[in-house]
Amino acid sequence: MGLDRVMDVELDQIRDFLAQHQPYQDLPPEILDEVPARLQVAYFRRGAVVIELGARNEHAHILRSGAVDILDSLGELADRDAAGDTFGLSSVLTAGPSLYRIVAHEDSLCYLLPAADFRELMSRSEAFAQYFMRQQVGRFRDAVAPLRLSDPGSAMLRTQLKEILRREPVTAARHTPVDEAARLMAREHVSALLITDGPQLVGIFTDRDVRARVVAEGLDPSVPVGEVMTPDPVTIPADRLAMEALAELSHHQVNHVPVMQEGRVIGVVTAADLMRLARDNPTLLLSEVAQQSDVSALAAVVARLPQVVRSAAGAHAAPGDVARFITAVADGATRRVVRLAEAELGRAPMPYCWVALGSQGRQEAGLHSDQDNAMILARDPTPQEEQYFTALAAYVVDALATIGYPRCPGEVMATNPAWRVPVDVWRRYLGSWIRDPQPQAVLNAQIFFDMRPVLGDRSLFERTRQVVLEQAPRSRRFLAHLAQAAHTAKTPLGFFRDFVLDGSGREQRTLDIKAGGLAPISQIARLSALALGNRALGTVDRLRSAADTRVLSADHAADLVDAYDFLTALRTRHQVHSHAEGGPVDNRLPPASLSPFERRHLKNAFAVVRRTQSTLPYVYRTEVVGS
Amino acid sequence: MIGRSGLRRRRAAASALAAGALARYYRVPLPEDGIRMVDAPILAVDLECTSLDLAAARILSVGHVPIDRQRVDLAAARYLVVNAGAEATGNVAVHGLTDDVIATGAPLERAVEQVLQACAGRVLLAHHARIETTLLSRACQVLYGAPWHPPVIDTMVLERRILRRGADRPDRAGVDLATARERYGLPRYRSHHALTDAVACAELFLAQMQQWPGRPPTLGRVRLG
Repeated sequence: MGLDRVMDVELDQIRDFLAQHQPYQDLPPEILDEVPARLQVAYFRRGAVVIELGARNEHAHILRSGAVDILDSLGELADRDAAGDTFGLSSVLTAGPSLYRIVAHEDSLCYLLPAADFRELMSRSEAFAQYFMRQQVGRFRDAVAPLRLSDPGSAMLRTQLKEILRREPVTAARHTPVDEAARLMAREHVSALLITDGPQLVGIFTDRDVRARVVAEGLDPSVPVGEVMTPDPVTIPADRLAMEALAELSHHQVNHVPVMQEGRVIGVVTAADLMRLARDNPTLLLSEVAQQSDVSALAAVVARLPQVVRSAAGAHAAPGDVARFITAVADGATRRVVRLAEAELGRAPMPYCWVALGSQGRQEAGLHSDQDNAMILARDPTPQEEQYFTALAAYVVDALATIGYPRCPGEVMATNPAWRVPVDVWRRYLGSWIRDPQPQAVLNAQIFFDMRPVLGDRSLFERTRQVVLEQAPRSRRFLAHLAQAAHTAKTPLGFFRDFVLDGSGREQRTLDIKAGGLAPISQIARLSALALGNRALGTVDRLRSAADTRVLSADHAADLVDAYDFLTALRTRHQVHSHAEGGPVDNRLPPASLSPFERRHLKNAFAVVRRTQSTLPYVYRTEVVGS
Repeated sequence: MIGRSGLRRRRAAASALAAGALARYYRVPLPEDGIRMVDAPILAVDLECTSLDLAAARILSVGHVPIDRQRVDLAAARYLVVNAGAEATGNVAVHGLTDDVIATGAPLERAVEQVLQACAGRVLLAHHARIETTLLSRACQVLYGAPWHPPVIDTMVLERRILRRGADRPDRAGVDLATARERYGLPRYRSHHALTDAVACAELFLAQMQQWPGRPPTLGRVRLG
């Protein structure tokens, strides 16, 4: 007989409850019917922590009764959920640590839906997926503390110990002679040795013990290490936060704590590891960049950038903030190098402005971004002055290359005499691109419309930009050319197995996240800003200020912003990962590195781009320039 | 109420006589006495029956759901209507089971076997557990030749105890399932449905354990219902 049929009827109360709330009510009935039997029920007393900040969480929580507070990483109330709301998704969607601490505001009864089942529902119902994507994107945007440049403790607060363990533990048996143990420590470059008995951790032996307990006491170096070790050392579970380990270290006045997972020792965390984590602090890096007095020292500081970015990304800084930080370091390095050049070559013979172009101009640099820069001179240089600026540009571009910013393959750098010209020439360049657009020239010139002053006389930049602000909005043909280019930029369709499916149905092995996603969105944003005479440079800023205008609908703008943030976050993750693995830091993601959820979301992001692209010919009347 | 050692004696005696599913049930060891009640593997059970007079009552339906690590696992929830025979009318208005539904039900033996299997190694949880233990034990006696002696936690007994420790006067305060649930802010359910009531009882237990005054009770330290 139909046992299951009878049982289905019986979890009806739960089904009915779900059916009263979004987005469960949008699920097709046959899917909704399956949900109750996948749930668990949990009860939380008022004040109880439902999900800890930074904890792994395996369930979407559907609040049946009561209320919960959603607190961000700084303890600020980000939201309060009531019956029928679903929370705990930051960790379910990303399979990462929770971005929030969730605390029961009232006695609360929750239905717990396993993450795998939740993701399955997302894959089976578009409406369901859309609902949570919007909720999450909204929360990310509003509630996650942006990269707090003034928050030195953030990495400590948010990093789990297992994330900072850098190597397998170095172990020895307790009968090992001390001299042999000391040699092992020297060979492995460790300051502590874990003494084990089979799988069991029985003690720890540190370089301090070698000094204090062996050498200072005049012991025979052949004494077994088991007799001089610290038995039953203080240990800490791998899922604890770095900050907690620091507290343990100082409480017990030790420098090493073995880290345990499932009863097994998986490594040692040292005071030095924790100090290094504190050092992975954006503010500190920026201030150090400004203080270096030679290029090689500067290179050493900037070399820490990927690690700091990794911490910031790990701490769930907003994707745009990470890019702004990377840009700030590039700006800082540029300013420092120019000062060093002036110290060597003497003061400049006339005012000038050093400008950043392209992604650095938009404050959207990635870890791999190469140099795009130029100089605006106050007036025509004499041959002697020309010599000075040639030397200055060469010094700066060389130094930046040494520090780790590759030269621009297209020679869009201040070393190129064409891009080191007086302000009047710049105005002529821009004016002719706008008034008399040639398709290829306009395409190549796009990065010049992302110009931003980095140092020097800002008024030179303002005079240059004035041409663009005044003339671009009125130049139909110019805008039509840009629109035509933006319209035809190709985004992938999606994924097939582990291949990227491009617009013509071909399968690519990697996803070029810049060419296939970030650049087309930037193009649309730039075009919108130019058409509206808007000063904004950042893609997201440009899209926001163009939202709900004649060139861009509010919906398309919001969708593009979300897509851009998502793509930026993926790129950052990929680059940080590639750097850690010692691979090339580029824009090419192997599809195998993407979760099904991310693939789906990417596919949606591409669709958003295509949807907006398809409106461009009508908005900008591209038929005037042909196709 | 019986204590732990009494329970063990009775189980040993019953186990020696038991046949079939009951014998298999007794072979699975129980959780340790020292384990905290809230961490014990539990099966919440509710029966709907024909009469409040236990001597005459027959089982109409069974619902049960396990609790593991303080989570009620709905995936393992089960419900079964029992074919109690044509003479088993009872109050349709209360339990909502019409003769037609009852006629399509499973034989009693199947329902009992299912409970025994689900309850093996677990503590029985019920609200006013005497109904469940009495009727199921009597069925076991008939079917397998021995009584059923599960360790029992009774949310009604727990509720009385919590009220006694608090300021409320237990003799005045209601301890029926719906009233007790209301005290913990638990949602109102349609009652008198075996699985709904089993889930409701399980949720009440989680709430009681969270709000328990003083140190969390262990299985061994409480007298069992």
